[in-house]
Amino acid sequence: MVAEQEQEQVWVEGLRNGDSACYRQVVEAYIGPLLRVARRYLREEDACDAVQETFIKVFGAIKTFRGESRLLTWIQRILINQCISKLRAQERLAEVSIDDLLPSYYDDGHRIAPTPAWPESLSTVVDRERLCRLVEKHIAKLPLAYRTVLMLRDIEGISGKETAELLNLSVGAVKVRLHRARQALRTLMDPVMQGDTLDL
Amino acid sequence: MTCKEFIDFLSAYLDGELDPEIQQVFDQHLSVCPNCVIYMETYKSTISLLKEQGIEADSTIPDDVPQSLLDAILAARSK
Repeated sequence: MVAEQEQEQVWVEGLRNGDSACYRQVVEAYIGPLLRVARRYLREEDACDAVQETFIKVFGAIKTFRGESRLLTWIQRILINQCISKLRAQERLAEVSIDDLLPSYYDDGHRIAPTPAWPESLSTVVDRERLCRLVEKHIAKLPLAYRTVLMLRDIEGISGKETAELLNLSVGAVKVRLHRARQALRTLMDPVMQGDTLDL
Repeated sequence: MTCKEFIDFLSAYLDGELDPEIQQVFDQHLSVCPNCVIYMETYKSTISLLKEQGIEADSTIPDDVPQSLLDAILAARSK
């Protein structure tokens, strides 16, 4: 880890000084991990564009890098911003209204139509790979504002504070969106977990 | 406490962000409401599915890089 950090410091200095060999080393070291992140959000062509645009931004902004995080982390944040911008620009998919996926209640606060329990072992319902693809399919149905929060917080594991900064939201708004997004996905996954809808 | 109140604050409850007195009210609700127990368990399973998604993606999404992309990025620098 120390060796990696020292290597990063050398790279940062080299990039700031316009060192072409250093540029190549950084690109070759990080392009694979960055492309993998971009592929989580975007189709192949868009993912490649996002990575390319990220490197251009990174090298234009390297003088503003203050070393408060790892270089790779800083670059990943720029990439995720690129991915989110591209998702926003894309045509809206056949999204489901979030309100239709949240629990509904009687006037006394009791829930209408409670759902049955899910089996304890998820593998009894469907194999792991298929389950992941089903989760992915249902995440894609969520409105973008909720999908991005869900992906950043629960899949990427980015903190609430950082997610708020990335999306220009308050930390409180991120919490609210995350909770609603999880509830909505829970509703979408319910028939899957009951073994009723396993089609991809 | 109603089921609606329980579900509204479920995330904060699971994150341990509630005041101890309010948490006690939540625990009481859980002890008498099997529907909310099921809801909480399925909500937690949803979070597990999402975490799993991140782990699975790390192992299945390829990190192979098209040569054309590498060339384009390196060429962009030399312009």
